[in-house]
Amino acid sequence: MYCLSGHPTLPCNVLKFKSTTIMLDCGLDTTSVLQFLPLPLVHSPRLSKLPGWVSKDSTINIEKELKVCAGRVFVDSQPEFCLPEKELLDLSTIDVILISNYHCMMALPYITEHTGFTGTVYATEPTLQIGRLLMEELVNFMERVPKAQSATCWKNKEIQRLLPSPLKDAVEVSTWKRCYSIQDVNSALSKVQLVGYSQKVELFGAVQVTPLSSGYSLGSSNWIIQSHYEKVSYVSGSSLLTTHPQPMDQSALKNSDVLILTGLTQMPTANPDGMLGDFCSNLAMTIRAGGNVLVPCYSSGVIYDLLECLYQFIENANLGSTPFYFISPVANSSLEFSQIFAEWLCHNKQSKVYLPEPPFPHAELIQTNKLKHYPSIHGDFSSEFRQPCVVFTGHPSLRFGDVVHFMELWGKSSLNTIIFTEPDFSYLDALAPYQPLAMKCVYCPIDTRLNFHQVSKLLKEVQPLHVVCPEQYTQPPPAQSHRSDLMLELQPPPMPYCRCSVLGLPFRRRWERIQLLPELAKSLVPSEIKPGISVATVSAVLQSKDNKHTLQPVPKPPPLPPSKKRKRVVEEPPELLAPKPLLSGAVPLEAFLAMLHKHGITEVKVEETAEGHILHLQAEDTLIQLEEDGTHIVCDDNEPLRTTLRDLVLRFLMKL
Amino acid sequence: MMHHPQAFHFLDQAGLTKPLLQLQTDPSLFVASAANHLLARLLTFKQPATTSHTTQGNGLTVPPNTEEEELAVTMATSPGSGRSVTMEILKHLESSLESDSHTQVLQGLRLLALTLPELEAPLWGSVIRRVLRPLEGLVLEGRGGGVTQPLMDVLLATYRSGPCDSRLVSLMASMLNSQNPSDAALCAAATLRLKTCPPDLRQKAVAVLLGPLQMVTGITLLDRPNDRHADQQIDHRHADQQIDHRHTDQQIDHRHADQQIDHRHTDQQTDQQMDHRQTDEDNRQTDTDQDRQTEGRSSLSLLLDHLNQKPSCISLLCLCVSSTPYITDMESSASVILAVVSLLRICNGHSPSTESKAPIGCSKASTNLIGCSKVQRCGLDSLASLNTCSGAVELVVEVFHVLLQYLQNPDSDPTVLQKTYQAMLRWLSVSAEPSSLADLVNEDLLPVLRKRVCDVRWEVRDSTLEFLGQLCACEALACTVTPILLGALCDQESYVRASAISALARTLPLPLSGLQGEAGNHTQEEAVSQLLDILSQDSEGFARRAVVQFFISWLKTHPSSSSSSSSSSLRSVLSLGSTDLDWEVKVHTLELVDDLMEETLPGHQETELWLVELGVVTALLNGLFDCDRPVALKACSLLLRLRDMVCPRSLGKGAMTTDDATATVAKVTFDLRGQVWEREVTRKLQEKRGSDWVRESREVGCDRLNGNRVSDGTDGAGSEACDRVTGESVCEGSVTVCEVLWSLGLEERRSVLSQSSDHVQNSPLSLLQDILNATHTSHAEEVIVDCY
Repeated sequence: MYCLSGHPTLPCNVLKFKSTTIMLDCGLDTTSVLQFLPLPLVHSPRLSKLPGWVSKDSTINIEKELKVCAGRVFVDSQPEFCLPEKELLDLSTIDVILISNYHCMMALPYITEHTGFTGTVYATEPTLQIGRLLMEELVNFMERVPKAQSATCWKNKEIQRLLPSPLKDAVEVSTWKRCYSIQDVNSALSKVQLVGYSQKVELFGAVQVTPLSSGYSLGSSNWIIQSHYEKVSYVSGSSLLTTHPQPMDQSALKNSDVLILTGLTQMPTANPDGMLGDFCSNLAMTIRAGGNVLVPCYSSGVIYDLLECLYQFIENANLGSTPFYFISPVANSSLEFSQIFAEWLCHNKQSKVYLPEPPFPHAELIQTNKLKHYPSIHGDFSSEFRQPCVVFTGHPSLRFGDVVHFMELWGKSSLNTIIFTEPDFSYLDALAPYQPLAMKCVYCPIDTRLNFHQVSKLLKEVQPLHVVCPEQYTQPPPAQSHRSDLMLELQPPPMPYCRCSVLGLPFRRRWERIQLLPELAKSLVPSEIKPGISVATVSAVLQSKDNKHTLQPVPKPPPLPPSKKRKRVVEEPPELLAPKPLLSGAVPLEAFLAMLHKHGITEVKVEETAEGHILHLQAEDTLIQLEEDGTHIVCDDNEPLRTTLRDLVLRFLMKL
Repeated sequence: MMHHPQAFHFLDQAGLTKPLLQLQTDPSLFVASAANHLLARLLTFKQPATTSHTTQGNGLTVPPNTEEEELAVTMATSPGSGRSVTMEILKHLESSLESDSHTQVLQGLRLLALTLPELEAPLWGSVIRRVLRPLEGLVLEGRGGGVTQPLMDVLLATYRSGPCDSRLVSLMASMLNSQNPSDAALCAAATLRLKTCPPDLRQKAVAVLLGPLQMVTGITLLDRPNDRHADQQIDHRHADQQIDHRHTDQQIDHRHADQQIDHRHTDQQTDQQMDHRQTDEDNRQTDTDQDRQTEGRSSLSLLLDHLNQKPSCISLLCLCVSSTPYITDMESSASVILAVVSLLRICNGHSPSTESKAPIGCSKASTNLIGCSKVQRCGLDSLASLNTCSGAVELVVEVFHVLLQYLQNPDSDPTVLQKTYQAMLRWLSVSAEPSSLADLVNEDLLPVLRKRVCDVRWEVRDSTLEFLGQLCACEALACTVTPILLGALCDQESYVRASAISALARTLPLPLSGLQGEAGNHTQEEAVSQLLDILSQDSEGFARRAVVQFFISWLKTHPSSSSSSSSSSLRSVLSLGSTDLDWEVKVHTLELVDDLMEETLPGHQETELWLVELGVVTALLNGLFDCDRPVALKACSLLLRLRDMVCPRSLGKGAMTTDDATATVAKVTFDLRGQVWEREVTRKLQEKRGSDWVRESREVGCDRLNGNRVSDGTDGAGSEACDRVTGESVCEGSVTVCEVLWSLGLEERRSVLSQSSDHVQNSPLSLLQDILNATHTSHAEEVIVDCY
């Protein structure tokens, strides 16, 4: 297994399994954007007048690239993302890419485009559609506020070393790349082939891959990769909580030789229920006091649950008249897509479709004008906007998207509150360029993925022989070193990986399945050697094609050519001799000695060896070695004696 | 039936004791328990009378006194006296306790625990004498596994019911040494709850209970690390001495101590049995001496094992932490508080403390505790009761921080939050200078409370509001809190609305600092009108009940005469409350009337005003004719009181007195038109007038009657002149209050109402009706005659 990403929840691993090369997810680490200045939608005097950064001794002159904002140094350029490792192996050799959920496919264009990739990408329909939305949104956010300048000098290792923290500590900066284009997205997504849960997909006849519901998001899946005798499970971003998606399918993960475990919760100490409650009460408290609430979030995923929770809560908390705005280039599609993927939803929501009712209650919020969605702050929104209100908008990193505008707008008033619900970014880092901030900040990260308690229960249930996981899961989180419950404790211990690790997975391929054609099977003569076990000898031709092996009857020699005129040398097919019979059984020493005695061989010296016995027939000067898997008769040019002895031995053995 | 001697004799003579004893181990728990209770009853039924109670003081180390011996002889020799039953049971009891069967032992112990508190000397002494040895067997030979709780119950019952005895105390000490930390803690907790307890035993129990706390939190609670160990040493050898309380210094040489004890024993001991036992024990002790080191270690590792498993860890720590309030007389009570605080921090997922000394092995234990609301609740309960112990004042801030952490934690269970609030209240009263906490309350507590008022879970909102109300009572926070409470009046959950109203009621006695004058009055008026809306519109009873209770407290702080607005509110409350659908609302409304009467009667200037305009009479009559008995009863007694105070007897008869005030009262009329009870009252009035007329005409003759009619007509009170017979005046709708009060037959009503609702079923009348119903109508006449 080749590990191309070190981020535990945005994995990118390549598995070489039985002559196939399978990439498992291609997550894009977007935390790198926190090092960049926000991209304001409208001209911001504050951000445009920032002083450039000058090193103490003024030796480095990259004032244009680095700006000082709120006491911290940021890169002034279009934000860049940290890509999966591309040097570890040739990406063009990848046969297939398996996608587990739409958050874990954001690096797809970087992998499939301009690398010589010719394989297929497998994903479920909601994953593809919502993944497309997220990619389009990302491209839109970037292209809406183009920035000509591209900063590269600071990435020079010699210069970076001298920069202040946290720029100094940024890793893999050389792999950081600007966002892809919409053409790349379209081209990459055209390589996706749709699959459904439990659908068995054959890869070159050698491997079968199957997506299973993972319960984390719409269409999210875990994958089973198996041959006839080996099974690898890939668990990524799974959830056992009852939220909108179909529940997790656990039973199919049983009997795995190796289980690759990624995408556990990033907030092991924050219980999603408690956070959801906290979110609601903070929201209500702010609205009651006349303030606005800003919720930076992705345009799909937890937002559906947030809206559903608020749907129930706003009545209770007398917030019925407060408007909710959802602003994203893909807001409309996201809200509508969620309603049409009925088969991918939890049972409860599925059954609503038959009533018929929209599965998600946000439809009703929209109908009653409580929830309004806009593609951006420009246009209709600016005329209909009313305060106090609640705004859901991206991007959660606060570096680009409409959220930047609201930060500038509301940041100065202590009545307003920003509530972080996405766990991907440190909220303090996200807020850094906006300091000092009067607005209240509340951190309610909602991460429904498996926590350590749930995962240890799951592993107890499915009993994999070996577990492979990111190294982060093998020790308690650095900030809470006393919490030994926040790590994986398994027997045998899990195999940790980090970026650029290459792991040999701990299983050996020992068996291969071979098919027997019916006509060949008919010709077999089994003989029972033990009750219930029969043995037969087979003479056949083994055909291996497309990683499938078949035993076929030996072709009959072609009839001799009728014409004698055109005599030519015909390659004789190999002569087909009846195979020698196979022997089985053991030669019992006492009985054999008795038999020798009967045949007049009396002077026998028996010597015990590690493997069996050596019988020395002293009169004949002959040795008989009786071993577990063979018998040797060593006699000096006395063929009759050898034959006699051989026949004696054969009397004790069974012929097949 | 065992209340009757005949039953006892029947059981005795029919020889039913044996089957009863067998039923004691019946597979059905109900049968077994019933058999045990019956046996206990048999044992205590006929106790041989004692001549003196001095035997109680003798303890068990002395031989049985003559009385007890006599008793033994009678019991053995005189069958049929009932003693044989006692004898048989006792024998069985003794053999049960020595039995190998777990059920038998268990049932024996249960029987003993049931019986002992009821027994008196000399039977008590003789029972103890019989069972003490088997009990020792159970405890010392370790056969008591699985029966720790009943065994301890027996020991405690013995301890409580009889004289303090050394053998008993030593048994209890051995129980505390149990290898199973849960068992030991169970015993220790029970020991601590004893009213009187030998100090050494107590100290040992404390050590058992604090051990696990110390191990998990890393806070030193026991003086020396090997304290538990040292305690084990006291065990058998010192047990005898513990009674004398002489042995206070644990550090004295044990061997020396042993000699002392032995010496004293030889002096005192006359009982050979005891000597024998002592030697036994000394032998045991030498063994233990050698293994002491290893034993100490193994008990530690046992405890560790116990803590590493989640279920046992939680139950053990719950027990330990719940017992901490009983340990406060220790010098180190401050560290006990710290330990509880530390445990609470662990439960919340924080590291116990910066200078934690918890051994590595306990990290597992602490992960068992994270998020465990059971331990959290126990801890918070204990913390609440620890507020009075010495050293609490210095730790207020520490305690507050942990309590705030609980309030801020979004995962805190509603029950945990409730306990946090209770603890918070208790500790708020601890602080020496309230001002030092003011910042904490304003900057940390209030924001989180504001958030909790908006919580998704109604239970949390409810307890937060309740807490806010209580907080107002001890802090001058009313101006901050009142708006929060007013905001909660429109909560979706009726319990929450009710709590908000109750909390508002608590803020009433406070001057609204910062909101004085106009603003304050405005707020209050707004609140009152909102409450009246709730009373008239709310669909749930809880909120409406709370509103009426609010006005009860409101009346106490705002006398009814203070303003016209207040009396108009009261009028609304009375009319809405007395016609409510919920009987509790009606009863509370009547309570309000009660308070009004207290306040204004007697001699109020504007009796008319409050009687009629305020709607007191209407409310009371609404209540009187209510179909709910408690309401009617309450209204009836209030009406009686009103009648006796306002309309003395003479008025009822229509005669005039010279008292002006009463005269005015007598003239007060009210309008009964449109009331549901109009017909009923009218009818009563007519009946009353009719009968008065007849009686009076008999008493005084026609002349007087005529005269009365004239005078009545002239003074115009009511319109009695308008013919008693026709009742014309009643039709006009206006009647005098007094007349109505006298016409209702309130005494009679009260006596009917005060009978419980099932009096009909239990009366002979009901029986009669049943008989009548059961018979054919053709024979009805005959049956009626029979019944008569």
